[in-house]
Formats: sequence, C-alpha cells, structure tokens
Amino acid sequence: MSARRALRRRGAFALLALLLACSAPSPVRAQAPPQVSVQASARKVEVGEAFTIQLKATGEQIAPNSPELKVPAGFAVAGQSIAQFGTRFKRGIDISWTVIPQKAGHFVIPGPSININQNRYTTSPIVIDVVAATPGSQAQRQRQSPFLFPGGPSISLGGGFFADDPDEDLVPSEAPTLGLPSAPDPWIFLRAVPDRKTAVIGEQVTLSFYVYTRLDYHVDESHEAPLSDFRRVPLLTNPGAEGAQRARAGADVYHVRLLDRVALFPLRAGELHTGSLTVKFSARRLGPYNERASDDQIITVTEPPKENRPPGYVLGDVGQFSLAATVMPRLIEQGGSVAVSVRVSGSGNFPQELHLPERTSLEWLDPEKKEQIGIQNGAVAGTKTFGYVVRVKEAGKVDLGAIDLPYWNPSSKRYEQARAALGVVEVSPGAPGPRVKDPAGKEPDLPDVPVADPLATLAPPRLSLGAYSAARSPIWGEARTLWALIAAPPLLVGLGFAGAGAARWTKGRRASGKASPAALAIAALREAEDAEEKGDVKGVAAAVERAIHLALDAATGLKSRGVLLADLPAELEERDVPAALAGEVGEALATCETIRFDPKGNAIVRDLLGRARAIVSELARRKPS
Amino acid sequence: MITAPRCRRRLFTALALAALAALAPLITPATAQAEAPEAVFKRGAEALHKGEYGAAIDAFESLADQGFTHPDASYDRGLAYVMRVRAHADRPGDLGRAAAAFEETLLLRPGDRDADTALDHVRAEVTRRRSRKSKDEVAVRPSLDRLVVGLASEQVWGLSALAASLLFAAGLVLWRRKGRPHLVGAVLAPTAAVALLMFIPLTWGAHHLRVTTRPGVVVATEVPLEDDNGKPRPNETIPEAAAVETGERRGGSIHVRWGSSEGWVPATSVRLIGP
Repeated sequence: MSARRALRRRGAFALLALLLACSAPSPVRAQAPPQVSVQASARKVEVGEAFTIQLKATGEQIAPNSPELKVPAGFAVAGQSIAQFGTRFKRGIDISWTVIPQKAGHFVIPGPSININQNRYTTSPIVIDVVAATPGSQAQRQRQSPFLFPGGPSISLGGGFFADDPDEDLVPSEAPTLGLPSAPDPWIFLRAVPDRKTAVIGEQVTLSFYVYTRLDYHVDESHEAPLSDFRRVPLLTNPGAEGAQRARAGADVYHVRLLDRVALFPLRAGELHTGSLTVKFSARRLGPYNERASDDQIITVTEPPKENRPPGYVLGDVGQFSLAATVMPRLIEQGGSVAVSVRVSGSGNFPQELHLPERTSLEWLDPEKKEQIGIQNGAVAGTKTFGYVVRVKEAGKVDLGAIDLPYWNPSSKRYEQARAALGVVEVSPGAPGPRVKDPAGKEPDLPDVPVADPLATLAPPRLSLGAYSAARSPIWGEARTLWALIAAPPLLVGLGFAGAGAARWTKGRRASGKASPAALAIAALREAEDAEEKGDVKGVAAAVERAIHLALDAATGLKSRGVLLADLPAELEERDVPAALAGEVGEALATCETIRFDPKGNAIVRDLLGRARAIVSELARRKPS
Repeated sequence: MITAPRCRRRLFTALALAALAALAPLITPATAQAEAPEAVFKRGAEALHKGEYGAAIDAFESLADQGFTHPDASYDRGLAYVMRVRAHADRPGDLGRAAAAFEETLLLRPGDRDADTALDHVRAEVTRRRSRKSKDEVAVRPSLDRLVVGLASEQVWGLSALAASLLFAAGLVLWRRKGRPHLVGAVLAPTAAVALLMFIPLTWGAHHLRVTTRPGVVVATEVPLEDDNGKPRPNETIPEAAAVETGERRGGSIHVRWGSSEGWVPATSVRLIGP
C-alpha cells in the first residue's frame, strides 16, 4: 500500500516538474532569425547612370546598426538613405545606397552587410553589367547633377540613422528653392510643393512631398494624401530614395528629403484640395509615433476657354498628341468587318476614348485599349492604342472618315487638333463575311431584324435655319416696374380722396379761425386804432369795449356783455382770471362807459387803448376753461 | 521668253507647294479655328443628311456649348441622337438627349409640329423600353400650383393684374359719385378687387418660377431622387426623357421637381433647355 502511495507521489512530482519545465521561459528557445535581403534597382546600367542597392532587414526586436556596402573599383556611392518601419512586435529597416558606375564592364558587387543583435549578416553579391553611356541618355543628364557626381557631395538622411546630430560636412550645400521664411516645427515637418497653383481640367500638376528634419528619425507609418479630385500618376520609381538636400527654414538649417512626387490631373473645375500626406515618425528626441501632416494645397482648376473650342472636345483632353491609324483589310464583303487601330502618342492626360466618325452604315464595337505610358522629363508621356472592329453594312467604296482628337495644348495655350484619316474600304456586295470577334471578347450584334420602328417616321433634318425670333422678356422689364404699375391706380385714387378731404378740413379750419372771438378782438383793437387816428373818441371807446368783451369770450367763454360791470371781476375770478387782471378789465370797461357819455382828451383815449392792448394780450395767453 | 527648263522648274515648285499645303494638316497638328454658328450648323446638317450622326452630334453640341440657340439646330440635334439610337450605337441617355433637344425646339418655337411628334415618339420609345421592366410612364401631371400658374404666361398674368388694378381704381372713383355712376362703382370696385387679389399671386408665381427655375430633361437611364441630406428617397426615381423643373444647384447636384415629387439629382443627369 505504502509502495503504491510512494509510486503515486513520484508520478505527481514528475508531472509537476514537466509542467514547470513547459511554462518557464526557456533561455534556450531562440528568437526567429532576422530576414535580410538585398536587391538592385537595375541589373544593366550605363556608365554614369545611378542605380540603387536596397538592403532590407526585418525581424522581432531587432537592433540593427553599422550597415556597410563595399563597392569595387569603378563604382562610387553617391548617397545612402535609411528608413525604419515596424509594429510593436516586428521591426524592419530599409537601407538604400545610390551607386554610380564609372566604367563599363561586368561587375560583381559584394553584398552589403549589417549588424543585427551583435551578429553580422552579409547578403548575396550583386551582378551588374555596365555599358557605355549613349548621348542624351538619363546617365548623361544625371552626370550634370553635382549630388550624383562621383566624388561630389554625398547625401545622407538627417546625418545618418546612427548619428546623434547631422554631420553637415557630409550633406550638400543649401537648396535655396526649398528654403522657407519660417519653420512650422523646430525638429521635423512635412511640406507639399506643387509646381503650379492654377491649371485647367486635365492639365498636369506635379506635387512633391518633402520632409524637413533636424534630427534622426525613422518612419513608423505613412498615409498618402487623398487627392480625391485628381487622377494620380506616380513619378518616382523608388519614393524616398532620393538624396537629401539642405535648406534654411527660418533661422535653422534642415535636411530636406523628397518623400514622393506625383503627377496630378484635375478631374473637375473648382478650388481643389490635395489633402495632406501624414507620416508618423519616431525620433530619439521626440519619442515614437509623432504624426506630421503636409500642408493641404489648393489648386485652382478651370475649364479651358470656351472660345474657339473645337467640336468634339472632351474636357480633360490636355497635352500634346498626335494620331496614327491603320485599317486592315481594305477589301471586304458587305457585312464584314475591318480592324482599325488608332495610336495616340504624346504627353499629357491621354483621352479615355476617341471620337469616332460614326455613321449609319458603320458599326463600331467597343475598343480594346493598350497603353505604354511612362515618365519623360517629369511628364506623363507614351502611347495609347485603341483597337476597334468596324462592321460595314453597305457595299461599294465606303469612306470610313477620319478620327479627330481635339485637345488643349497648355504650352501654346490654345486648342489643337490631331487627325488620322482612315481612308476608303472597298466592300463587295454579297453574303456577309466571317464575323470578327470583338477584341474585348464579345460577339458583334446580330444583324438587324426588321421591326416597326416609329422613330423612322420622324420628319427629315432641317438643312437651313428658319425664321425664329428669340423670346422676349416681359414688356415691363423689371418686376418692380410691374408692381409699381399695378399699385399705382388704387394708390392714386386713394391719394386723391385723401387730398380732397384734407383740403376740405383746412378750409373749414381757416373759416372757423377768422370768426373766432380772439381774431375778432384783434380786429376790434385795429378798429380802435383807426378811430384814434381819426380823432373819433367815441369810436375808440366802442371798439375797445368790443375788443375786451371778445377777448374775455375767447379766454373764458364768458359772454361778458350780459354781466353787470360791478359783477364782472367776481365772475372772472370764478373763471380763474387773476384778480388784478379782472380789476383791470373792470376799470377799462368803466372808462369806456365814461368816454362814451363824456368824451375826454386824446391822452385818456391813448391810455385806454394801451390798457386794452395789454388786457387783450394777457387774455390771449389764457386757454378757455 | 521663258525657257523650257525654267518652266519645268516653276511647275515643279508649284506642285511641291501644293503638295506641302495639302500635307500640312497631316504633318502638324491643326490649330482649331473659330467658326461661325451658321457654318457649324450647316456642317452638322450636312453630316446628318449623309447619316454621319457622330459628326452631326459634335457640331450641334458645339453650337449648344457656344450658347447658340435656334429651334432648327435643336431639332437636328435631336434627330442626330435618334439616328444614333436607331443605328444601335446609342449610349445611355441618348433618348433623353433627343427628348431634351425636341423639348428645346418646342420651347423656342411652341408651334413646331415636327418636334412635337418627334418628342411623342421618343417618349413612347422610352416608355416601351421601360414597360419591359414594368416601370411607370415617363410623363406625370404637374402639381396644382404649377398647373394653374402654367395656364398663362407671366406677361398675361401681369397685364391682367394691371387691368384689374385700373378697374378697381375707376370703380372707387365712380363709387363716390351720385346716381348711376355710384351704382356702377359699387359693382365694379369689389369685383375688380377680387380679380386683383387673384391675379397678383398668379403674376408673382409666374415671375418667381421664371426667375428661379429652368426647364430640363433627364438624360440618364433612370435617376433616383435624393433628399436634402443626400439620402435616396424610397421608390422615387425619374425616368429618362422626363421633363423636369430645375432649381438651385448645390455642388454636383441640382434640385428638380417632377410632378409633385422633388429632390436632388446629379447635375449631369439633367440637361437644361432653352437659352
């Protein structure tokens, strides 16, 4: 029993040990080795023609350093660029050397090497054939660049991936065209530079993206600019492999590297935004995943002018083109087909389709398109071939017409037209020839089956322009005129009625004003003055008496003639006339009474007249109660 | 006296110059020259007469691009598109383009019977093609407001409103008089006032439509209507060749009204007609 228990205990220990052995981190379990590869951008080059050798290393938690490329005699290394990429678990590095051959021959370049996690990895050698340069070749042009000239200034990325600070002795001199008055970021930033800010629809705009940096960095990830309103053609075969330059931004000197360059063809008119290229950089000084975005460039795009625009012009056909066409065979039977191949050569935004000389007896099937379009001197150029199958339904000598390609030439700023005449095809009557298969793979339509076609009964075309007068706008012109005309009659009548009423009212007011006691009082005073001039003392007294009574009537509404003279002051005081004034009134009227029965001298009359004026004036200031 | 070798040399030179002149357009790209609208029309009409509908369409579309409007040019343009349809070389929207051209002819010359007949045939063809897919007809009734306003032109409504205004004023004047004139005014003024209240909105409506809208025709096989937020309205599509009333433009979309349905459609799917 005890032996069985001991055996069970030993088994449990063994199982526990096995589990521990499996779960413990094993120092012996090795990481996957890094993958190191090398490739050259060309295997056959001309003397002086730069090519790149790219070493790529990827792996888990790798720490690469000291990349090395030893070139044999007859080669010069013009520059080196380094880019790091990776995720949290897997990292990688790309090192590109720009190499320029200096003499012709068959060479074996030893494979570049790199230290990764204290192990040195050497790649396989590269075989390169170097031939003599031809005049006008790319190699010859490159020789003119001081940055690619063997022995010229070398190019490095921000002073090198492994250096702490840019070594300014190793970089070329400043590029003034890349200079900026101020830097948007003190360490690293992106910049988009279009070669033009205005274009017509379909005209090439070259957009370059640069990174300006003052520190060592590597790219974690990048996102292309959206460029949603443009057709985009990449201009660089190996983006990011271009050499670095120096440029001043504000007070500082930056290393500037061309990240990408694209040809853009605007698809519509308007203020078109390129959007921003965004890149996440890691740098020792900034830390990981520092996002930078290039500036959003706005390109003002218009249509080519409508003036002199040729018939058949399609918006977007911009560049310089020529047409060449071949037709085979030239002799067919009625209902047979010919193959028409049209080649468009030139540079610019190649047409998507051609304008065909369509007519009733010809049936053009959808074309097969082939293009050989590349980059020449920074412009999109090459050839595009349209292969058509044309079915001829009528017999005799059938003129296929000509294919026209009107286009806008941005260099000469005018419309031009390329033309290819297709010539005549002899079609013999008889049974339809063998049906040619459409290059796109579809069979041509079956022969027409006669059916009742109501569209065949339409009136014939008009060969001349008949009489026609353009519709005129309403006779009143502006709408405001019409509304004024409509509103005028009722308004005029209303104004007339209102005017008549106002005149009547004014007349009545005027009439009532003349007969008012106040007016009559003033008139009576005037009569008193006349009587005084004539020496009529009684007349003066009568007029003054009348003036005072009328003034009292106007001021208080009191018909004072019916009031006894003795009671008058009290009556007036009841009507809020001051006692002094009431007394004055009583005295004046008493004087008048006296003068009427006993005329006195002129002095009394003049005094009476003065008092009467003062009383009338004083009463006139009072409102009737 | 001209010697024989010199004569031959001159003849040779003349022939060489003539050959150069003939070949020049083939060697160098020709520069497009401005052409009078009448000449373009003539070229297009001749091409149409010969059955060269491609060249005819180019010519008539070029005229339209230049802003040249003439009912006969519009009619021939419609015929060119019809010819392309009949040649089975039609492209999507060709029947719509033909309908737009005939609509334009009728807009410019309302009594054109040929255009009227051609438009009927084109719409019938569209309806026939749609009926294969159990789709609705092309024509719809306009809404009541458009129907009433469309009974007469803006000028007719405006002149009617003006006449009503004058009669209203006269009625007011007579109403103030005594005897028979008062009686006449008592009848005339209220009647004219009612007419004025009726004609003023009609005039305003006709003017507003003339200023803010333009007739158009759908030149796509079928266009779904979208609401103000760009979402498609369920089961609301406008068929090819349908006459619509177009309004505001917003980006690449245009506001259209078809019968009582309204919404936004791509601007390229509608061809505006008229000057």
